[in-house]
Amino acid sequence: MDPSQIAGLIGEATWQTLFMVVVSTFFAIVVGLPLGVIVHVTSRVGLAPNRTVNRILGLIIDIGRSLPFIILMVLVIPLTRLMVGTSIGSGAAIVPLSLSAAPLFARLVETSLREVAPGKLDAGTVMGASNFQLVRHVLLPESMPGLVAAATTTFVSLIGYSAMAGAIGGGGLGDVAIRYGYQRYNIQVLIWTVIVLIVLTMLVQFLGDRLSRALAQR
Amino acid sequence: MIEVSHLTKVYPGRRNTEPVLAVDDLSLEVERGHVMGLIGPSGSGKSTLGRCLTLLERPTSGTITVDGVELTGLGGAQLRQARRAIGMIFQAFNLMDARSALGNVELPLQIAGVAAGERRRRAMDLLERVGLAEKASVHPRHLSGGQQQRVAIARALVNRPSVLISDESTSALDHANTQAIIALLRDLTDELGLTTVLISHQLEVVRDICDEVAVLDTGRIVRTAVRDEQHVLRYTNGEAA
Repeated sequence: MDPSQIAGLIGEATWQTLFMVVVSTFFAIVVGLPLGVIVHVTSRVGLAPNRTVNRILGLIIDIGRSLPFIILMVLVIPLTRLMVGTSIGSGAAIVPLSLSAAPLFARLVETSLREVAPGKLDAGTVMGASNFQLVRHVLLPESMPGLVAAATTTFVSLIGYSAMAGAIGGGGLGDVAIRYGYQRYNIQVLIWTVIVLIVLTMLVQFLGDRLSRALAQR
Repeated sequence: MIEVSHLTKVYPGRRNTEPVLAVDDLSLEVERGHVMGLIGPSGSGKSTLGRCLTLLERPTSGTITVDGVELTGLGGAQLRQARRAIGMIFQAFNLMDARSALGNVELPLQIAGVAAGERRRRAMDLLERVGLAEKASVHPRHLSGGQQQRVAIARALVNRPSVLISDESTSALDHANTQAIIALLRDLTDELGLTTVLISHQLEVVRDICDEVAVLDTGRIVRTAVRDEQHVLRYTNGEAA
């Protein structure tokens, strides 16, 4: 393969990976944020302790997190077919990617919320805030640096998962690495996928850290 | 006016710990516009009592009545509404780091559903009153302890409460800032006719601004003092406090 072919291949795969990871991170946040908030709020030290709800959601999160991604991916193929119409390609990979990242993000959200000083909630409560207002005006804004760090971690994990999605036809850099690197042993292509994955991960981590720090130092 | 009647607060024991009787059948009254000092060592129940006054803690038994409204009988939206008549300041200030000084003072109004323009105007008025108008856009992290407590005072008063509760509000401050905060509280309670409860572990800190004092120990009032005609704070046995 000449360099321009490799560049084209890697370029397209990078876009597929970014597409999968960005969309899955978005869905992981949409599902994981409310889940993490509810788990924190219903915990023993939360605003509205509820053991049953807390246990059930905690169990769902733990099950989701303990399933290896590659197994989850196969397990949800029927669901993926139902939602996307196919189980092959980058679009289809978004379903298992989101499903595996949502519980991770939820746990990280819960940890961040726990860091908010209880006194801030006392202050809000005395103002006459409802629990919903306390979540919206105190818990979420006050834990924003932690939430940004959580989103960054989720994004970076999804870069890794998305490479695995390539193994069953998910497209992206993982797919290229397997087809060219593993099956044809084209070492050049393999090295380029690794370089792009490393750069992508470092870049996202760097930007996430910057944003998180900027928020914390306001 | 604040009326506390036969208030008891027991913290239930958990595994390996005994239940704790924090407030023990305590009754007291603070007249409208009066400043009452609640003094006692740590563990005397004064902070628990303060938290009960805003129902941050639910009393185990007894009643708390503020301006004729029995708080202990309320829940949900009614309790939230009633709390707007009470301002509270804390030892740790408890400002929101994500908001500017102005944003912090606006928060109670935002929660009460006051429109943005009105909110800004009222919050700015109070920041001016506590001498921090020029720090309106500064975040708490970049303010000194004394300045943070001023912002917290402005925040506690922006809803125009009739009652102010101060829980060790100067304990984290140095001497000069303590004096300044106490002087500010004296002016504001006079000016606004606030019924005030000042919780402190040191009588010296709040002595000059209290109309009456209750000394707590192990959840009970063990001594009380009131100002006589010469404006001297005296215990019931005639001793000057």
